[in-house]
Amino acid sequence: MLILATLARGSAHGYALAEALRTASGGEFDVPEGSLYPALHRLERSGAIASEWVHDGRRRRVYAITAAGAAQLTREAGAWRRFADGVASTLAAPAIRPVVQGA
Amino acid sequence: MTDAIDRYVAQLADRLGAGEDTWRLLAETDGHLRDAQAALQAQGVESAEAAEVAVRRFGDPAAVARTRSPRRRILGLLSGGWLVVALGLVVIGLSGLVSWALEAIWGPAFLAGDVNGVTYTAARCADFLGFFPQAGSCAAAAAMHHSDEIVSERLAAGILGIVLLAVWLLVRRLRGAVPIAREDRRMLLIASAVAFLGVGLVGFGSGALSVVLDLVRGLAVAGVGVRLSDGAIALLAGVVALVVLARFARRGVSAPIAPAPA
Repeated sequence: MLILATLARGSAHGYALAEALRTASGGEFDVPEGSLYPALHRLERSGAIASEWVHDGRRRRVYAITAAGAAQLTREAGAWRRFADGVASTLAAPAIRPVVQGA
Repeated sequence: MTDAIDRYVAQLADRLGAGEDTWRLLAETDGHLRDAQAALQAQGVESAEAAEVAVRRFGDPAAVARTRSPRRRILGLLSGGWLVVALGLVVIGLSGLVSWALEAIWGPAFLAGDVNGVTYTAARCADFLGFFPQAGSCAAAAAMHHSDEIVSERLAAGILGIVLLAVWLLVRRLRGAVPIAREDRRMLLIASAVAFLGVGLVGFGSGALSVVLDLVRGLAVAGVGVRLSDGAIALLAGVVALVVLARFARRGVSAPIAPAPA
């Protein structure tokens, strides 16, 4: 979802995508960059993203989100927001009044 | 001149094995690491150190290779397993050929005769003599029967192995090589070497011991040929597997040396 969300803001090659992920998350998502490419390849096989070689002084594989990927992002982002809202509501809930047992 | 990035890409290539999409992943890895190195150098980091940092951030090559695709790894393992089974059956077939030769030279009793003291019921003897009326005795007919089974079963296994090997080669030619992960290649080689050497040592050792004991006791050497032939061929296959394993382990990983500037 994070990859799709980043690519929804514009196509990018792997290194730029890793940098964008790190920057956008304030450094929270500082995962090994090598794990990004297998994930990109899986997303491409599923049709969520597409890619092509671009030569701009150095050859780079540039990835872009597809319509199917955008729809997947909408679904997953909605589910994530509902989950995050639920967690936030739970954390912000008032203290539980203890149940008094007995007569 | 090679640097940390060259060594890293070489290590990753080695762990990924050959495969159609391997090149793309390697090209992207190399491009990513060069971009990261250039970005660090722009921040004032020295070139070699920048390469080291870029590689560290990218992650362990074995871990990257493992995240590629579990399905592909299973396919690679199946392909390697198929090859090992096919070659194992071919080795059994070769043992059948050796058994055949031993039978031709020293007779069926040497190859598969019963050890001293073994007897059969009259009905079973009649069966053996029915198959081999020219044998002249129950023991000789039994030895001929056992030899016949031993040779024919091993040759059949060898033919099956050749068929499996042909199918493996055909699929490889039509669909391309399935990459086998480095860990899986090592595991298959170790399993092959241990299995062949184990069978070889036990088979050949017990066969040779039986020969010595029969000679010492002044008895006719019988029924050892099959253990000697199986053991010898398995030992040979085990040694070949060990040599391949040693070469595989020694090969290690080294980056290609860039040509010196003209």
